[in-house]
Amino acid sequence: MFEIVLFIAVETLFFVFIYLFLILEKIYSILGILGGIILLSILINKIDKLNSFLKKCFSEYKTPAILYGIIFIIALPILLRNYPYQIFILFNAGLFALLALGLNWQIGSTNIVNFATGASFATGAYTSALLAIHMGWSFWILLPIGGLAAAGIGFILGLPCMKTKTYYLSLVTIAFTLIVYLLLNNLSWTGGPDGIADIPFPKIGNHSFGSPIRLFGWEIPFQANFYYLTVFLIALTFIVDRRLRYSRIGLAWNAIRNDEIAAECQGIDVTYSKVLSFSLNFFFDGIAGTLFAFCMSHISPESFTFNVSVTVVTIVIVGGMDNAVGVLFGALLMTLIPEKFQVFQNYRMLIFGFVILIMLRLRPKGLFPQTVRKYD
Amino acid sequence: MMENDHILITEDLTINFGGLRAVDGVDFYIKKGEVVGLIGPNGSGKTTFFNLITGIYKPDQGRILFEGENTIGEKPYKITRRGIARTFQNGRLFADISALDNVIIGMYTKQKTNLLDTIFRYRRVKTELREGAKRAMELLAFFSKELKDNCLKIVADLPHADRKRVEICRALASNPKLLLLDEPTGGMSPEETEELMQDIRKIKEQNKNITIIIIEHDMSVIERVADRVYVFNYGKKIADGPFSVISKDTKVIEAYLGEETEDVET
Amino acid sequence: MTQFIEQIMFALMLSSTYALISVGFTLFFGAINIVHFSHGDVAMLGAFSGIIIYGLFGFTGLIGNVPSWLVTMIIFLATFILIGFLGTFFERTVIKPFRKSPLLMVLVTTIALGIVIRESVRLFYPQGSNPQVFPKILPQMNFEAGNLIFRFDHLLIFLISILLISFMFLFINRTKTGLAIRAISQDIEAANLMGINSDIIIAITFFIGSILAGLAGILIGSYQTVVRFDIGLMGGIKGFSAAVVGGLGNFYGAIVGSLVLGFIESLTSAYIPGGAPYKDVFAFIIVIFFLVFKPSGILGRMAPIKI
Repeated sequence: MFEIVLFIAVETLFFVFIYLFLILEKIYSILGILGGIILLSILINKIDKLNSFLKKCFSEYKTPAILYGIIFIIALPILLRNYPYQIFILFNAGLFALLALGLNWQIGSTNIVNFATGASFATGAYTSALLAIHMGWSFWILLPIGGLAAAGIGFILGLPCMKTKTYYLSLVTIAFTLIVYLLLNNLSWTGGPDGIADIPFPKIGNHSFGSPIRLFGWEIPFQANFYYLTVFLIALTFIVDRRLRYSRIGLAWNAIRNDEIAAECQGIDVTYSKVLSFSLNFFFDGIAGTLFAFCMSHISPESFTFNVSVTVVTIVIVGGMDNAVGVLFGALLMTLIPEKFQVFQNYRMLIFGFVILIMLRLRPKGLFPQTVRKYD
Repeated sequence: MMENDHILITEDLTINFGGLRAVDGVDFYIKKGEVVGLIGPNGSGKTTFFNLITGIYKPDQGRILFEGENTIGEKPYKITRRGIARTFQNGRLFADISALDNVIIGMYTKQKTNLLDTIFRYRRVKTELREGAKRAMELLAFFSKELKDNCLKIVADLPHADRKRVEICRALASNPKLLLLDEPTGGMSPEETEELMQDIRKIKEQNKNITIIIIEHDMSVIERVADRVYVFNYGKKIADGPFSVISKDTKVIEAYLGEETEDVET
Repeated sequence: MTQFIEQIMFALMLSSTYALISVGFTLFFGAINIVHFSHGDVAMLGAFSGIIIYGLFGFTGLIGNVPSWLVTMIIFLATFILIGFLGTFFERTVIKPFRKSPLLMVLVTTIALGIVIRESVRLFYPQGSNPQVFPKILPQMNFEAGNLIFRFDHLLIFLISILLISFMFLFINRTKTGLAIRAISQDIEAANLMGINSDIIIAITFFIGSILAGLAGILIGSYQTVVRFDIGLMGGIKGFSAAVVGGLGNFYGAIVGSLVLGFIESLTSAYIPGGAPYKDVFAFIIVIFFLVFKPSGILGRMAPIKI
């Protein structure tokens, strides 16, 4: 009994930290909370008794622990109902998580360093925005369509690139991102530098995503609509990720990552596998793009630069190659922390650059490297 | 030449690498169920020969017939799916995943699930993988119980001899018709070599129909395992026949000792 | 017609500046098999160092007193040394630790390095995010031949580039150090066994490549008259593209590729209506075409992989 109580207490402590981290404004308070989280993590890591205790509890009480976590995630916007901006940055973190989870299939599982996330994100956003404005299609149809449009681009981009070596492929993806940015900025039907505005909010029945959620007398800011949708999509992506990993597709990707020639000699169609990774990654990027467009209701090329690609690549490298939980964690880390330390916003890219250099040197597999597949 | 029970035939197989004839007009055949040894000094084209058979290289001249069909120009993964599996001289395992995963990947050609199954009908995929894992563990156990117990270890962390065994398991996993072993005992101690040889014999006993071509430098292995032997030198086939015969062939002896006699003369 | 000839001259000059950068890419790839993505940013640093040094002259009131050709020479020389060492410094600290790592990691590392360089300039140079005026350090005269008007500074840029590239070519092919560099690009292990200190040779290689890049920065700054902190990204990609198009690892290939790229860029922006903003797009499409269909480039130099 005591174990359960202690375990719940530790988990609750984390949740409290996260909540405080989100709502506190003063730099010192934020640093304090951040320090608290880091301290707790280090303590757990170092004190073996605590470490093994928590591990044991987590494997025994896995389901209630996760359930508790889910309750927290669902309740969070309610707790944050007076802090709409905080809900928004969580939504933003979720978007990056979606982008990174997809990219993980390429960088983490297959070792294809794809710098074109800015372009695939843009494809989903612009496709759905244009279709919404010119054809009046509903958001719910556009969500998968944005994904398919991006996947189509991924297929086209991936196919001829398959004979090219890793570093060439990366160059092609970088060049592609820059080309897309240039085109978006110059073509008239994409709105040029001003982009596309007045994208309508999605609706479920009578409830528009632009209006707050009224529940039990609480008024939860409208950003929560997008937050919940994103959480749902992330959960779906997690399931897809897990299924891919424990399938011959995921195994084929890992084979390719290690040795393409040996992979071919196992009967793996390497080209097909690689194109598949491109298409799947881009599909989810396209969905994220659609989500982004409909939440911001106005998109411009500035949101789809090479820097966006770099950010997502950083998240995968830092969070963990081929580890969905690590990537999620990396996404939260790389988006929430810069948000809270607004003063560093300007230095964001510089810090990311250093972070990549340091991580690759010290912990190239990321904070949460991939785990071994277990088949029980 | 009877082509019915010849599972693999090459005719006048030739490939040039920038002026160097790595494989030069090689005629080769092997019957179903045979174990053929392939020996020759370093650089005589043995591994290149394997690469040609598996489609990694495309020959400049000649034919390769597997089960009577010409395989030249086919991509390696297609040739593998015909039922050919191989190991590599320097070992090409998938080093950052577990031994078990490596062997399961070996079954890729026999597995049937696709993307749609993986996302929407996952139960089939789960079953397929479970069965694959079970079979993989059986294969590993065939070589040693320790290997089976350590199957979840990352391959990079395994000792050299175990890595070689895992590679052979991976090749066997697809139930191949033709198995190409490229210096399987490379880097092994005499005891390990002896064990491996017994294991190869056991493989042959359990699979009457499996055909094996084995490249080796260790003559004791060839002597005891191979039904026939081909000898390569400078890309050409210089002798073929039973080990007892070719081991006395002067051409063969010269090929192996060639450099030494030159030294003696100068 | 005259306009056409002038366009050709401009294209030649453009190509020659690209060549200075792409030759570096090819050199690094040939020597230690890496793609140094931030090489373009090193060139950008050259341009900025030119601005800074010129500014120092102005600051110390020496502008009026020192003959302008001396100022120019000093700027060239100082950048030569500064960027050479800076480039080598980057190699020692960032690239060298990854020498045994998979190529992918080196790639991402150099991309990250590029970001650090760009952002540092943007943040720490006064008004870094704005375009900076590059001083006119080359003689601004024109001279005429018939109907043609030549810009002397463009001609000078072209000549200087060719001179530098020729020096480098002679160095690689006629000196002992150059021989060592060629040895390393063939087989670094063998070179080591022959007594060549590959570590030092690699440093020298980076020194040379960075010098060329730094000077390229000055020359590009001179004809563009404005530079920004991010010209290194585009410039680097173009330089790399030129090397690929010509054949990565092939010195002559870098020259050929630079000509191809330079000509496509200037001719499309001059002769295709409304094409100017898209000139980079055309160049990139050509590059993607080569990467996909003929990765060995026009002249080719791809080593076969041993199985």
